[in-house]
Amino acid sequence: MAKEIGSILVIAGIGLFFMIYSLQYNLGSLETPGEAVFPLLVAIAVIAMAGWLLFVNILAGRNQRPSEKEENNNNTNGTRKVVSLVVLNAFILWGMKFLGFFTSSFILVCLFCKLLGVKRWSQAIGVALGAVLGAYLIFSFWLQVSFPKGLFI
Amino acid sequence: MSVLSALEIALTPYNLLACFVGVLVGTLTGVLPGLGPAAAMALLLPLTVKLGPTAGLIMLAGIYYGAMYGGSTTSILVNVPGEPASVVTCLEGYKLAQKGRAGAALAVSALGSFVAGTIGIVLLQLFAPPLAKAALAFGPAEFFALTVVGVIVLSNLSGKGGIKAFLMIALGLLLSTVGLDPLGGVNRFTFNQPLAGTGLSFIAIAAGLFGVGEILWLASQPEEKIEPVAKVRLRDLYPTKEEIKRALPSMFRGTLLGFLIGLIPGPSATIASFASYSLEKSTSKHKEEFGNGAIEGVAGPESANNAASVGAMIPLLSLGIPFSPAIAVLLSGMLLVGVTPGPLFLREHPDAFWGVIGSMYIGNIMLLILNLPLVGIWASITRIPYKYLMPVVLLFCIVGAYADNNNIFDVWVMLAAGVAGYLMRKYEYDPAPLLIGLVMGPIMERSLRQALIMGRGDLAIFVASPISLAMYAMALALVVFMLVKKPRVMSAD
Repeated sequence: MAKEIGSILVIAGIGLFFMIYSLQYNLGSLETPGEAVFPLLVAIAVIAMAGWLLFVNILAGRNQRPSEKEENNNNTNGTRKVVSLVVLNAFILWGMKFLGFFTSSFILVCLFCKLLGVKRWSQAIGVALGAVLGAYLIFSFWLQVSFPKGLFI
Repeated sequence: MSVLSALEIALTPYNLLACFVGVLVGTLTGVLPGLGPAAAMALLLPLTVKLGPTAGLIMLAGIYYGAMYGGSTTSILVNVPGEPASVVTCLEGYKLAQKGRAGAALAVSALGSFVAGTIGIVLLQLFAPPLAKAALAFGPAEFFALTVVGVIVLSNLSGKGGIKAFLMIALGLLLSTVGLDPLGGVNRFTFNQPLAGTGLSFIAIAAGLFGVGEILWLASQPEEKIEPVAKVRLRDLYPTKEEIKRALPSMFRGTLLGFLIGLIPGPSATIASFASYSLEKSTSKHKEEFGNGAIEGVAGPESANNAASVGAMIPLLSLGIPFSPAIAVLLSGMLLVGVTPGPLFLREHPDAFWGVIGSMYIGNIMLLILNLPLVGIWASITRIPYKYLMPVVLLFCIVGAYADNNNIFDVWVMLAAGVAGYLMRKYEYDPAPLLIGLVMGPIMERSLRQALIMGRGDLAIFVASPISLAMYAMALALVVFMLVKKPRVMSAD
């Protein structure tokens, strides 16, 4: 339940952020509504709904069942794996401006394969090479989409 | 001029070739995430001039409706929508694929697209002028009312309904305000990042929430917990009699609904597919299968988005008004070859008008012939172990998100949406309503502000017309119905 409340608070936080930020913009009047009106109204709705959900959850006050607790504990490995995949992805996206789109993508697919359990490096490299070559031929060569270039391609 | 004369123009070898190239490029465009029909049509615009008015327009139209056919393929196979209108196909199509029914889902999708495309063309021929006039009766106040009804109807998309679904829609509406303000041109919530000025890409968010979210979810599961995709035998590649029987009424309902929604400005194909899914869910005799792989959930939306793409051509052909980006590219193609669409189009260029209509019949048959034999090949993709498949899917999500606007910012948006998609799945939030909010947001905001300006601040403008009143009455009835039918709708679950 703490996690449920946490997720609601995050959403309420997003609403609050939009509400405060939208006040920087012009509210206008009823005759000429400004650019702040719509986001402000929706942000208030988000906060109100999140508040209601929070109230319902606290009122319900359910205790987490032991089986759920056990399951959550067992899944720590999974969460770690997700965090590694996201960090890896973010790192390689950041490195795209130095290495170029396709070189970075090749490294990303290769390492992703390994993280997802592909045992042999040759298999991971093979999958990455095939996928990047396919993407290059379709998008860059045939459809002429221009990708960021770096040290390589 | 009759259907036969239209077919006579479309069946000349030159026009047939143009139609084939169009539908082939359209199918590929639909299959590839990120590259929408508007971009593909824009890429081939120079070729249109060389082909001449009739063949050029036949090719562009082919790309447009061909993309609707191909869009469902990746939705069904790997939970990544090929184009925005196929997002909803992920909900049931991917579940069917996990049960080993990818072939059936793909075949039903192709058949539904064919049925909708063909019926849509008949409706286009019969009702183009009166329907175009009816669409013009919708002013900003009516559009606002329409979006309110839409939000209420579509909030129960996944059946979980409740306040969480409304919360997700509202979050989608909020995210839709990032970027350039639709009326005043002010950059909002962009932190002075020029790349964020175009707003948050729908494709990037959809690919993130569904595709990357699914990859992260699968990665978080212990290997023994991931259910292997059921083995597909040759006879499983195509739908059973029972599946066809269940899918056919959905195809017809989706066609009618999609065609009517196609007349509305905005991303009508996407809205049509969401609305059709909602309709199928509420009318189905197999409600319990929704969310676990219901064939109606593929047949209805896939028919609806194809019918909407045909319906969207009515305002263009009859009035010369483009209601979506892809149709706007089609309009520019027409202008490039010296054809001005509108009331005089039929009189001044009968060959081009009837050629396009005739080619749409032929094009739909070509698409069916192209797509059905490919079902087996596509379905075999689901048998690739996820540790090899998912990295490749991730690469295509990245390329798709980037290619949408040639913008690396969109790839970051996709990654953030992927993390959000994973967390939503973990904490039981449905991502589909968020996408509805994202689609509806700009229409809702524009119509709200335009209506207020037109009414000089008088709020009575929102209920001044019978159309608006009827819409609000419908919205109220829906809320009452939801509360009576499911009292727990306003509770947390």
